[in-house]
Amino acid sequence: MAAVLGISGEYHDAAAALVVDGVIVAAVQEERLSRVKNDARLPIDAARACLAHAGLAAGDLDRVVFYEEPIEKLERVMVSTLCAFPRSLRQFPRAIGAQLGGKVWVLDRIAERLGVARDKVTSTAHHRAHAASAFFTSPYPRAAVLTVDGVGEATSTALWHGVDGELRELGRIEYPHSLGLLYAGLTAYLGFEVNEGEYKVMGLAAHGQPRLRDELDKVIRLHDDGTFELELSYFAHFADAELGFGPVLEQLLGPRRPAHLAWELETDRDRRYADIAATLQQVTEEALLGLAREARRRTGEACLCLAGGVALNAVANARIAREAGFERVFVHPAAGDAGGALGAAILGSLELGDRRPAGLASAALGLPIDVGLASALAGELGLRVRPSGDIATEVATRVAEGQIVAFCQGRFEWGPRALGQRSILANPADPASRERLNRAIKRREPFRPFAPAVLREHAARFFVGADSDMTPFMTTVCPVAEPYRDRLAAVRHVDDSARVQLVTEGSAPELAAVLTALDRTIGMPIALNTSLNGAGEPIVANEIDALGFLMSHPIDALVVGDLVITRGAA
Amino acid sequence: MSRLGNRLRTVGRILRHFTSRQRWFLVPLLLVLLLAGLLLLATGGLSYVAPFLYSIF
Repeated sequence: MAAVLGISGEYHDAAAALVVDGVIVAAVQEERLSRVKNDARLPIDAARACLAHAGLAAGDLDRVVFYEEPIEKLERVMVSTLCAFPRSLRQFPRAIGAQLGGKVWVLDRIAERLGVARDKVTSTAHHRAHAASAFFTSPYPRAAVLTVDGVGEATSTALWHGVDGELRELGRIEYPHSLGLLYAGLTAYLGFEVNEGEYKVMGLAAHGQPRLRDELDKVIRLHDDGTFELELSYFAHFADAELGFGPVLEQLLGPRRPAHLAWELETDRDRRYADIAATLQQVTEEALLGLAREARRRTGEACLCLAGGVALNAVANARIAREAGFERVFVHPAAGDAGGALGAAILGSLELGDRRPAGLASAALGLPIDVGLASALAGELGLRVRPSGDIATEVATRVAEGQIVAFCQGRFEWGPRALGQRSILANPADPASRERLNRAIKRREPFRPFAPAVLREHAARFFVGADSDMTPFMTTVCPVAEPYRDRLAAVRHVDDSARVQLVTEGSAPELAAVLTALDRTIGMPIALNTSLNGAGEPIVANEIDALGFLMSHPIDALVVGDLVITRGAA
Repeated sequence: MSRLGNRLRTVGRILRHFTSRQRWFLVPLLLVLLLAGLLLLATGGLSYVAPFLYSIF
């Protein structure tokens, strides 16, 4: 019987997660509270919010577990910068300074800032935390587990065997050979922001053709045993913290794409960049497939769990599910570094003798929205506030008419996807809604797709192979069924796929009710569902953020609980 | 005082880690870097963090 707090942070996606007596009580990313996208600072506010939600004080904690071994990391940084000398000369002071100036003392700082005894603060290996987040929240009693990201302490990729409450490491690939850093380097080459633009590269890939395979085969070598090797002369992540790729890569692929240049996919220049994205996506998928097949061969398991930033590549996950030989695949909804906080908390809980948590039925692990406070604030702001007797039908009617509705219900989601708790809903059959969302509200690149949320019991009619352990958390894609491709134009990507979310009463009851009502109004229990945030902002957390969003973006209505809030005099 | 105690215990853990792993050759460098790191902090040299510094270091 223990209360264990997991912490991730100091690199990107800081988060805190609380497990009490083997039950996942709360999990919150710091960015939701600080309103700084991908906030990396120690998640002290998130930690306090988790504790407050559980009615606990810091003194009630039996253990705090950080998601990485700080001294192991220091050793790897020292060894790798020395090995890359003299190329790392410019990087050396900053790299080592970042370590010795703060990161290596992280356990001390957590203890001091939270006010817990230092001997209660421990750490676990980065990839073990990722593996725990995936396996111990999956519905499987036993599974192969793959963790793939940029780099943990010294590991970029690891293979695990999970059985009940145990995780055993079977193998690893070490830094600087890293699929995450390959993808990040090419993300930077294509002019996107690292740790943020990887989704854009995945979306862009569907607009190109994998014509540059010969070139990319020089950059990464895939081996028959599932391992891979980067050709390091193309990279500079150990020597240049600005770009991650070197001039040799530009000699191979041509000049990098300038950042912030508007995309014009009809031009030869941008078609070539789209082809590079497509080739990168193809190579990444094949590398992951090789790893997954090896995981299957070495464990003999029928189920696979995935975590690590690379596991957020929904297109690759779909290929793994189809081709790697597993019967079932699960991806943790916060597969990036944030998820490591939950994995660390679960590992601490298991070590203290608690049972393994139940499989994750819903990602609504954040803080609730306060409907009463939203109503009072909206009134003070001069907004029109009206309670609805049938909020699901009202939302469905508005969406069917082409309105764009911000939808806030209950506790916010864990992970980067909006799953019906902090969502923007629109008509999936209305391309005009998609255009308005992209250009006026989200201000995203025109090639990026929107996703559909569909009632689970009807999903098979509209999407091929949608019923999986990944679709409740939007971590995979499925083809749109041929008869519905025209009708679902607003949520269909250029390759006829969609990143489907399967909705049930259990996972998102209010959204399920809206989808049921939409079935009556538009003949499909489907909504376009995108995250409730503007460009460069974290997803909305509380009522203040939600009202701020309504006032600063041209949406038609904000729904909080059973309240409909619109602009105009009350 | 407890802050200083925590830091000193962490220094002990770092030195034990490097010596137990037979990483003796890194210990002199570690001591020099510890000093350099403190100087860098004192001069505000960590005010900017580049994208790959987040990921890797």
